[in-house]
Amino acid sequence: MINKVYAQKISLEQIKKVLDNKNSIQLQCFFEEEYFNKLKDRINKIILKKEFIPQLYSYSSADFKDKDIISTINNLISYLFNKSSKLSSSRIFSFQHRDYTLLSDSIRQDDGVKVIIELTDNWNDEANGYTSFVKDKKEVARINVINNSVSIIRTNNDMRSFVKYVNYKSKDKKRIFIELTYHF
Amino acid sequence: MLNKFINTNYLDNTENLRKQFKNIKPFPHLVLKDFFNREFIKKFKVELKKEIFHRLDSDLYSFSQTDDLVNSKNSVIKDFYNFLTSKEFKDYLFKITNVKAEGKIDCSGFIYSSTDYLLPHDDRLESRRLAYVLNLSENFVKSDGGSLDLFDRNNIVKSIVPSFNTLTIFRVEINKTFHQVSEVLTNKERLSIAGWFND
Repeated sequence: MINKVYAQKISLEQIKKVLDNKNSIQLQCFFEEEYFNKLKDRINKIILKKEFIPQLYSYSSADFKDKDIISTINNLISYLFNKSSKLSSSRIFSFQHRDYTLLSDSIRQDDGVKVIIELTDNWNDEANGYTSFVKDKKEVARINVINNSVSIIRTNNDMRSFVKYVNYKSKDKKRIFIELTYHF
Repeated sequence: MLNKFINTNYLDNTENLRKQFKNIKPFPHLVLKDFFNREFIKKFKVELKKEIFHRLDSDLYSFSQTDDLVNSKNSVIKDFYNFLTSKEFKDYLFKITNVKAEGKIDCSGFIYSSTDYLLPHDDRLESRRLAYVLNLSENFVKSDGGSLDLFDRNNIVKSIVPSFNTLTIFRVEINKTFHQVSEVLTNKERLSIAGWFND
C-alpha cells in the first residue's frame, strides 16, 4: 500500500525531525503506484456535492470512509507525533475553476494534525488552488498540488487555512484530495 | 465646481436618481454611465497609470493597488481627489442616495490583470457608508470577466461589465451588500479607482 521507503525506520525518523523543525512536510510518491491508481478510480466514482456560500467557500465534497487508509494514516500520525490522535473529519474535496475557500475567524484548526492526500495529476501551478496555512497573517505552510503526495501539517488553534481561488488556467481540470483531520 | 467635473445631465436629475437608488435590487446602488467630464477623466487615466501599483495577493483577492491617492503628488490626481472629498460633491451624493457620508474618503487605483479577482465580501467596517468604483478601462465585454457582481443571498443577480467613465456607487451594509469582482479572463487590464465614503 505505502511506498516502502516510508516504512523504513530511518525515513520515519527523518520525517519526525522535519516535523519538529517545520511543523509540516509533503511526502511524495507516497502510495505504491498500483494501489494509488485503484484508490483514484474508487474516488472518481464517488458523487460529490456542491457546497457554496459566497462569502466562505465554493467546492464539492463528500465523506471519505476508506477504513484501510484512515487506519494506516492514523498509525503513521501516532508514530510521528508519539501520541494518540482522534480522527475528527475525513472528507474528499474537489476544486475546479472558480472554487475557493476564504479565511474565516469562525473556522480555526484543531490542536492536532491535518493530512492531505493529493489525487491530482498534471495540475498547472499557474491555476493556483493550493492550500495555504496561515498564522498571525503569515503563511506558515503551503501545500502545492503534487499527485500522490501526502502532506502532514501540525496544526493549532492559532492557525487557519484556505484554498486559493482556482483560476481559468486550470481549464477543465479538478484538484481532488482527501483531507483527514486529527486532534490530540 | 460640480459643473466642471460631472456630466451636467446628472445634475438636474437628482430626484429620479434618488428613487432609483432606493428601489433598485438587490441593494441600493446606481450605475452612472459617462458620469464625469470625459476629457478630464481621459487625462486622469493617463496620470493614474503613472502611480506605483503594488501587487497584493490573499485568500480574498489578487490585484495591484496604489497607495491611497490622498498622498499623490500628481496635480491632476490631486484635483480629482479634492473634488471627490469636497463638500459640494458629498452634498450631491447625499441628494442622490440619502446616505450621510461626511467623513474622510478612501481612494486607491486598482489594476486587475489576467486571472485577478476579488471574491465575495460585504466591505464591512463600521465607518464605511458608500462604496464607489469608477471604471477607467475600455473595450471590456462580458466574456472578458472583471465584472462587478452583486449578490442576493447565494446568487449573482446583477453583473456590471466595466466601461470607461462609469461610476458605480452602493450602500454598504454588514452581512447584506455582498459583491465581488469576477476573475479577469483576458489579457486586457481592468483599471479603476475605488474606495469608500465614510461617516
